[in-house]
Amino acid sequence: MRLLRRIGSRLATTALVLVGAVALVFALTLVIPGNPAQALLGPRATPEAVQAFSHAMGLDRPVAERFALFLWNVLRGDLGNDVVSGRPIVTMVAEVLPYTVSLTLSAIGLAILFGVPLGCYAATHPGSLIDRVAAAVSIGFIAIPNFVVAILLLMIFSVWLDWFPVLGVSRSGTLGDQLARLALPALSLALGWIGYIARLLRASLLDVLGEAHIRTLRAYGVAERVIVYKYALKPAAIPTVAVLGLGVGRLLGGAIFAEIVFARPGIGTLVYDAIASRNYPVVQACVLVVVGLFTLTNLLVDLSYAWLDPRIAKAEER
Amino acid sequence: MRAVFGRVWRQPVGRLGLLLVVAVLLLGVIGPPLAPYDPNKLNILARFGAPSTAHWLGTDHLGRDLFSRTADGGRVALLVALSTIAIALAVGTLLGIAAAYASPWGERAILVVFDIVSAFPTLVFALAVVALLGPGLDKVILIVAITLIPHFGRVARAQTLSLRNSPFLEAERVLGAQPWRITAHHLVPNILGPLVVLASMDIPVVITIEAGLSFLGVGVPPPRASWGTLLHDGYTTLSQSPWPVIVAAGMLTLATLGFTLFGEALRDAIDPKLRVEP
Amino acid sequence: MTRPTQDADPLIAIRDLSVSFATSAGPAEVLRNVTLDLGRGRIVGLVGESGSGKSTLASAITRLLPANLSRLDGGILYEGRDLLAEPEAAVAALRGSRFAMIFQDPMGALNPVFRVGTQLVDLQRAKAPKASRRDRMARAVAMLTRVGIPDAARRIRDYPHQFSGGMRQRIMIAAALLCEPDLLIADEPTTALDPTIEGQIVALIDELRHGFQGTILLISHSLGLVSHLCDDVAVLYAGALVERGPAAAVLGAPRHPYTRALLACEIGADVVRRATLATIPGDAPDPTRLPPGCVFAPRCSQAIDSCRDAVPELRPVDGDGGHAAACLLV
Repeated sequence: MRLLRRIGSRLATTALVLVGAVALVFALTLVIPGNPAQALLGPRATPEAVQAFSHAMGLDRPVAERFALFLWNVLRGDLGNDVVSGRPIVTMVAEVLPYTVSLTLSAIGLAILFGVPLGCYAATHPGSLIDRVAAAVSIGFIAIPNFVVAILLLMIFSVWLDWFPVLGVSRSGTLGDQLARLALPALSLALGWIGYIARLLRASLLDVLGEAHIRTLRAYGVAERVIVYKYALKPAAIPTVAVLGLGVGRLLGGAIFAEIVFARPGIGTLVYDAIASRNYPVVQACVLVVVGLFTLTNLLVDLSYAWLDPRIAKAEER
Repeated sequence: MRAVFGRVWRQPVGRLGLLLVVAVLLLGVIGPPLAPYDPNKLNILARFGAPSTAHWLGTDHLGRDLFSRTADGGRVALLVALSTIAIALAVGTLLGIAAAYASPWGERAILVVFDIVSAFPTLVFALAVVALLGPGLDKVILIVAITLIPHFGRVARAQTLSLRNSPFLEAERVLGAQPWRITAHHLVPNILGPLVVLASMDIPVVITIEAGLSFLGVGVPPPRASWGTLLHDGYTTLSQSPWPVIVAAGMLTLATLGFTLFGEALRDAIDPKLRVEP
Repeated sequence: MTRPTQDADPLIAIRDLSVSFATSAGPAEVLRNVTLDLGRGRIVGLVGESGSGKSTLASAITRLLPANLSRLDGGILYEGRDLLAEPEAAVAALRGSRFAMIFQDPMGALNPVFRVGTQLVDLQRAKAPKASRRDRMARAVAMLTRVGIPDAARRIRDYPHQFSGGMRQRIMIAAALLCEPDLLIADEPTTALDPTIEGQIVALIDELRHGFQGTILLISHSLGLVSHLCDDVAVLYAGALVERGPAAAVLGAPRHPYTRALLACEIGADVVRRATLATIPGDAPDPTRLPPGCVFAPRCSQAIDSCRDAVPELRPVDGDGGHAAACLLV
């Protein structure tokens, strides 16, 4: 029951933020300099053509009405049509979204796969060589922009060493082929996060390992492996998960670069090409999709606290 | 101030960060006048040059001198970073203080706006605006500043709330001081520490965003140099010469790393409590 | 109560135990030449002010000493082995199977993000490594019922924050009893609880002791609790054992001036509640700068010059009854 109320309240906040985001994206179209129809059709379009196009797009109606229509269309899942090809934008997004999602998920997977053990090792061996090297390397990878990392990886592994010579994705290739093409882009996104997760986890694990309940386990001879990876890791994961949730926005931003650098299809390439061709509705739609993904991820992360930390549900009940 | 820098200097990490920051500042401030070439001067015959005595860092695909362009790009990066953060710090602090003193509804409204703005990943928001309004330095600065405002606003609000009922502000009020006077003379100086730390830690973030937008061709309009455009030019001609990429990537690495290390050392020097905040 | 304290075959024999920690002010001597037997099946009370080294003594037996340990001398004999000479892994194997602990703070002693049942199952790992999870869970439910948790089969799926402080301490007692230990160390088990809850926990310990075969080391600064529960008493002051013996003898006819002063404080605080509350003048000594001779001498009203010359030995005061005190004046 209290879980339901909690989910309800979170959903309401999320809905408010999403509507606000739609409004913001809509408001941006209002401040496009000059007549948007003219801008879209180019300088040589006749006034009649501009007029007709404006009417077709509903640009001659009052702002409030246009916003209501825009919002309604977004809610129905209608993001408009591509002004160049005339295809529904939803279809275009749906085509490339799996590539972006698989790239982002592999990056998160890599980051957790390497970051968590590294953080645990560093926390249980503070001051060791690995701990100090990891601290220095991770701060480096956290600081350096991920498109710089992507290009350096491309230069070293594809151009110089020729290990991952192929770019793009392999739409019909074997799984191995697809993974080989995924490896460098995912790694370019994950490197910073490996260090970030390791650092955060190390700090919160060190805190937790000093707590009284860990002393209880030690006094009862529970194996150190169980203490660290079961009883300390779960409470220590809470702040890490919080940061991971907020980081999804940065990760999606990074995915745009990784897709462009490694010439992969995805939301990033879609938006990049749309900017180059001044295809505003596509840009708008991509921004909405990214904001939606980001907000929903934050919602999921927020709800996962209840599982990670049963005290939260109790605190909110009061 | 001296004491804070002393504490930064005493940490090895802080020292490295401070040295890198000073080097980047020098490059951006006195680099362009010292540069031996016009950063935009073409010399197709000398294109893809490796570093040499004539061109310290080599030349790009149009034969432009990479050192001159790097210095110029450094100036752009610093200009964008500092003005962006100045705007975000000023507006965010004022909104944060306003939220702390506003009616519950006013406070709620400000916080919801913060939430909505934060729902946009900075880069995506900037991409959307610049794509719609066209590229330009001023727009990049304005947009990135807007996305950073909630960051400062939330901290300023929290700090103000914790200070609002402190005895010394109470005393000022009883003595009949004007609200703006209390804000300017007592509140702001007392909440500034954490905000300055936040500002210093946001510098590498803004440098990254500026370079990223320029890399995508929607930031600093060409032919003006930016580290992002340098990197993009190098990326497209990577098969001919690695030097442009190495120079641009190296500069971005040193600058972001330097400001990050400096920011962390500054945080530890000013307020170790902030450490727990991710 | 008729058996002598110094029986020929104690469960644990602590011999000349000295423990120091490295601090910024130099080495802190937390325990000095402590010699004490913990008799089989007895409840031994260890009393003293905070900082007297009570908890360190318990940690030394289980070898769970902090990382800034700088000196560990003497011996702790258990089943013919010296626990201080054994490899770390050998002592670790005794934790949870032969030794169990109950801590002062029942709020922090249980992990907040795991169900009580999960924790009770894992705390039995050392005792019953081969038992199935189902078996351990069933034992845990039975034990929770025994320590007075109503509806234990359902409550075992709750999280620690869903229990009150007293209930959590009952859970910790259940965890300790599940290990069927030879030695149960209870470190200030009631200090963090409300007085009424404290009474319930004391009653519970009193009730459970009859079915319990092992030895209990009860660490407390409350002489009332110790006199109520314990067979034997040992008094620590600034890391030195100043008096020990059967509870009736030590608390009924204390010989060391410190024990007498401690008893006077207890009576003053608990019973009389007058304005003239008895206190011991002065402060406990700084463990990094202990005085020469008897550590209590600077605060002792009866001290003579020779008290400051040599550390007094623990000497029997009633023949072979086991009552001994470390004071030149007895």
